[in-house]
Amino acid sequence: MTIATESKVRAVKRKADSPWKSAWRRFIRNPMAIAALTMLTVIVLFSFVGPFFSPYKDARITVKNANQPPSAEHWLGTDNLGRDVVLRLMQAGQISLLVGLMATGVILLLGGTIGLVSGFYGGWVDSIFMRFADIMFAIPTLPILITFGAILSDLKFPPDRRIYLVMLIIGLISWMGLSRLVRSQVLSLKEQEFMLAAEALGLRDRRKLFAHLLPNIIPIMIVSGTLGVAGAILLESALSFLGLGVIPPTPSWGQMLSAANNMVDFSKRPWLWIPPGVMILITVVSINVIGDALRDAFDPKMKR
Amino acid sequence: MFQYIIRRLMESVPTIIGASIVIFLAFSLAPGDVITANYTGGMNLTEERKAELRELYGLNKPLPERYGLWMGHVLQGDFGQSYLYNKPVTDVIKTFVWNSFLLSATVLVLQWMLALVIGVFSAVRQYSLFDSLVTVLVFVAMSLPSFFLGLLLLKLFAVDYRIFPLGGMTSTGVDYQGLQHILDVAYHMALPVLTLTLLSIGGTTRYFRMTMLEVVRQDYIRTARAKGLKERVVIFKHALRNALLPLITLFALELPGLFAGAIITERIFNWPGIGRVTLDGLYQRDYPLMMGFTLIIAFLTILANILADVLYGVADPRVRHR
Amino acid sequence: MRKRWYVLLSLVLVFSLTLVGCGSKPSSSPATENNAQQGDGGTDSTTPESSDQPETGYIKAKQPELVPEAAKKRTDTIVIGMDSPKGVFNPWFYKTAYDGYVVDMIFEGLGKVGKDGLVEPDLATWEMKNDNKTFIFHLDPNAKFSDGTPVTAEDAAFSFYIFLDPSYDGLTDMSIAKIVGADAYKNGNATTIEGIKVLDEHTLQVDVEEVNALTIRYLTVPVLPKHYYGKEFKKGDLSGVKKLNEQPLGSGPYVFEKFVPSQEVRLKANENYWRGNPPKVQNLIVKATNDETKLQMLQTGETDFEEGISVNRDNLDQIDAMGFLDRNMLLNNGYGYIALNHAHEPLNDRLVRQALMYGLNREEVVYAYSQGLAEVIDVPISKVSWAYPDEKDIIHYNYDPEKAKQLLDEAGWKLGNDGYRYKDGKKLTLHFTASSPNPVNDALVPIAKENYKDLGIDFIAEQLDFNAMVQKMEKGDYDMAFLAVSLTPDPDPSQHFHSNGADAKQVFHYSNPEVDKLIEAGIKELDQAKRKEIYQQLFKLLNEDVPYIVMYQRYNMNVISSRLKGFEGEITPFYNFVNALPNVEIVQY
Repeated sequence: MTIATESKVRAVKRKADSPWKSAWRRFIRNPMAIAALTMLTVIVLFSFVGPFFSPYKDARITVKNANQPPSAEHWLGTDNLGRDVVLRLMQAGQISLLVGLMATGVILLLGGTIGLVSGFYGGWVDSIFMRFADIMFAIPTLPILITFGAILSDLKFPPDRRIYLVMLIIGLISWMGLSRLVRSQVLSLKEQEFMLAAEALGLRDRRKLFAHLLPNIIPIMIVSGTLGVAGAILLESALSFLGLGVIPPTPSWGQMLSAANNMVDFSKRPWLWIPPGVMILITVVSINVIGDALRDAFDPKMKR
Repeated sequence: MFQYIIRRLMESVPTIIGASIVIFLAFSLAPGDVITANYTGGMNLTEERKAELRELYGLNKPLPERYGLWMGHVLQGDFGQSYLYNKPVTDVIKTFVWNSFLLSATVLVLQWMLALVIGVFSAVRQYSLFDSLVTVLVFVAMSLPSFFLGLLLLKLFAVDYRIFPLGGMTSTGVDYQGLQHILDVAYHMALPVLTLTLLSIGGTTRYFRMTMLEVVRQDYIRTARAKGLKERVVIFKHALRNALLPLITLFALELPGLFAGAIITERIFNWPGIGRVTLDGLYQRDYPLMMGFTLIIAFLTILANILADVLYGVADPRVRHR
Repeated sequence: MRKRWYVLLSLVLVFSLTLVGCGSKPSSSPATENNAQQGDGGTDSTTPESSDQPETGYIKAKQPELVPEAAKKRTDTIVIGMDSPKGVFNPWFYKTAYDGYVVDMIFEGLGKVGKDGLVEPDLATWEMKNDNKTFIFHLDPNAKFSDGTPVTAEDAAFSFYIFLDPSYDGLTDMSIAKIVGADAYKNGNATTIEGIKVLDEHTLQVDVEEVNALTIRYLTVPVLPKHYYGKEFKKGDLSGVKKLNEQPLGSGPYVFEKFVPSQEVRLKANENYWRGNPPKVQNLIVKATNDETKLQMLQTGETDFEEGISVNRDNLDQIDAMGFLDRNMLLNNGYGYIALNHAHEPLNDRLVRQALMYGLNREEVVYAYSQGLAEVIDVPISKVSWAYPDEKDIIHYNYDPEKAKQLLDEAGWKLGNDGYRYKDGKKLTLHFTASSPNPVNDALVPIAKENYKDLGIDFIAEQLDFNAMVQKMEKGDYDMAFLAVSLTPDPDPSQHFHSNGADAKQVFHYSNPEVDKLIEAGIKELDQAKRKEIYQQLFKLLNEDVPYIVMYQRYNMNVISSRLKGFEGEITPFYNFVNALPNVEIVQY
């Protein structure tokens, strides 16, 4: 009896307040979420606006200043070409943030959609999509990327913007894992009571997909998404091994990290690798906290 | 179910053909070949010799013919000769793949066991100190590239405190037998296993936490709790079993990786695995080796995905394969 | 057989995850030298005086008593650390320098490259007859393979049949030697090579169509036992020979014992070594190590010797700090350079090329890449070569932006209002292709961008995979690209600078009739003194003509535990450590 009223009340409330609005309200009431959002904003500002305030933005390379430890002039020291690490960190942020979000965005969009459709419709749709995914799994990433890099080079595509296209391609060839995860989730959701009810009510496919299935796969998308951002930021640095990363002197966090890949820099020059490491960490943790909060906000069952 | 398996296996035939074409094209269209890879700034290979070598390797034939020749041999179990190792591709793969497998399989077991425990506890105590701490640690491990973690562990445990060796798979210059050999390998494995486990555990933990969180909110868990069942029983008997379901797919996705090797970690720890071999093969454009190995991995991926779907159907009676 | 001339440089690129080694006493200005101290900031352990001490050559350890216990325990074994050999232990087929080292331990050839880079007798001595077109090799009658069978002329002849086999895919191009009948055997139906004749058990005759200074380098082939390798040999099918790559058998000072892929190669002293002086230390292990932990391997005593440690200030400091390590630092027989595409305007203009040379702060690039431990060079030949011209005869292109601007003005490229130079309405734009990963490019690209912008050049850099870059260069679709080259002990630069050379023709599109003439004269000349004269002239000319921008010459370094004695003075840029190994002893402190 009470349960019935409660749900009635909730239903009424929902009508009065769109689910988006109530989710938003729940979201901003979450202090962790606000803190994370602030951190992320700070990092974005630091990366995109920060360089304008750096006294070194027009500095020339002075090799004789190489590898200086942190000091009053260079708060985080200098790198092997005598460049200010703080400024490099800001410039690197622009690349890493964009790159991380782009690749992840493509993966979520493609993987989510294909998994959803494949699991929901089943049958030959499922067969075609999943066999296509199997073939995509077979694509060897490295040679494909090398070829793509060569094509961009032949087309004389501006070198400093190639990285974005490369990340797009990476997104295009890495959605399969997520699509399989989403699909399997949908397969079992499809047979749950609420979906059977939706079926019985004769709801349209679109309604079933977006109103009922999508919210239930959001959690897995969030986990994959946050893991994906971290992965993509680090992957970017690995791309330089294929001649596909950002072109020097443009930095990225991942590259700043991997530039210090020997025991000496490791133990003697922590200012070279701790700052970019911390930036990646803060970014990823913030995105993750925001993701968790979003999920909670959209979850009607959550008590908080 | 039996019918379903048969159907999937039959579907695999066109899939693997498609995969083989994709693999073949990916490698043969990539710029450069084994001859450009041997380009030394030009002090040794004359133009005539380059043309001669390309002819010898059949690299000057039209693509469809090259594909036909390759597939023809592959179907007879012959993956060709590796340019770099000067011996059959299958021999090269056999030499290294099991070392990688040993490492990866150990890591996989550790990773899933630990992730299960950590993931479940973080989910049950969502937003507790433990959960937050684990979350941050997970992301710390993920924000560091593998070579960093590897170097850090080496510096600590092999240089500063000489507890573990600096690398390799066996002790230099000795041939241990039996138990002694096993212990020796285990001793050399410790650091690479630790590195890879730390690197991979993060993601898995997050997935465990996610699925557990989903499940503990379900009505039947509430029912179980309402019935007055002990929390431990609720979590491990009712919740965990259901939380594991979606992870079957994830697990299957990781299976082919058991044979793929870990490029950076194997390199840093001098582990004689297939990962380093394939990176070498790529730089040297050792097509027969690369194509053969990639094809095998593609085949394993397809099998693993069939396995996942079948297991999923078995484990979750609600899912019907039609 | 100890010919390093077909060893790959690309190797370095294979695992270019790691830095390419480099370094030594800076040749650059004293100012740069001082910066070396500042450069490392507070972490630098060297004192200002220490940089005045000689750094190159063989430097002995200061505290040999610090040799780690783990190493001391090995009383009859030397462990050599290097990048992993691939297991192609066969002088005909090996491709990596590391397989090459193992090959050198096990095999010998008719001749070998000596300390000065010239070919000298090894298993055989030779004489030339018939207007120098006939070579008679006299094999040492005492020479024996490690299984006790004598080394014969048949065995030596067999090598030619392998190199000239239609299915031979190794790196030696024997057709260059122009042996009589080689083509008929390789591309025709001939069952024997006409120019290879076994005169008696220990005498081999080789006839060539024409002779030049390089012929003897090709003819001094490695000698392998035919009774062992030839069992399954058929013309056109070398698979039976390749099968034995992992079970080598030769006449050298060491015998092969065991190969554990990517881990170690075990060798034993050849007790029956025919020269009568088997190696002093019984066991030799080649252990696979990687650049990240090579020094730590020495530090913990897991290895006694490291074949290649990158030369930079950090590594030298670490080595000195450990106290018990000797090091031997020698200039590399090779150099790094920026290739120029002469088919593209304005790179066909000598003035522009000289401007590019003057206008690039090469000292700074080299300093950044090696922490001041590599040498800037101005001539496309190694300083260790006998062909290197006298320093005072050559132009030193020290960084001089004003001179560079002046040269560009002279060439007709005038500064426009936008800060870039124009000629006939065309902007001065140069596309630079950098292979990645490459530590030189990491320093070169940012500095070149700045320097060339100052001159009014629009310098556009892009990164590519190494093979993709090479393919692009072969297509002629580039202006500038950074490469490094390993030179052969012989200084002949035909491939790079003769208008018919593979690279000059296909990649650089460089042609200079005067250069051609000198190169041709240099190859034909058999008299060493006269050859030297010709090459000095040639390289002076190349120094002035700037066919490409030569950058630097790096150093190679062997690092040796002081418990090993016998390497000092025995290694040259042409003559690697393997030659010294048999005489090395273990000393206890």
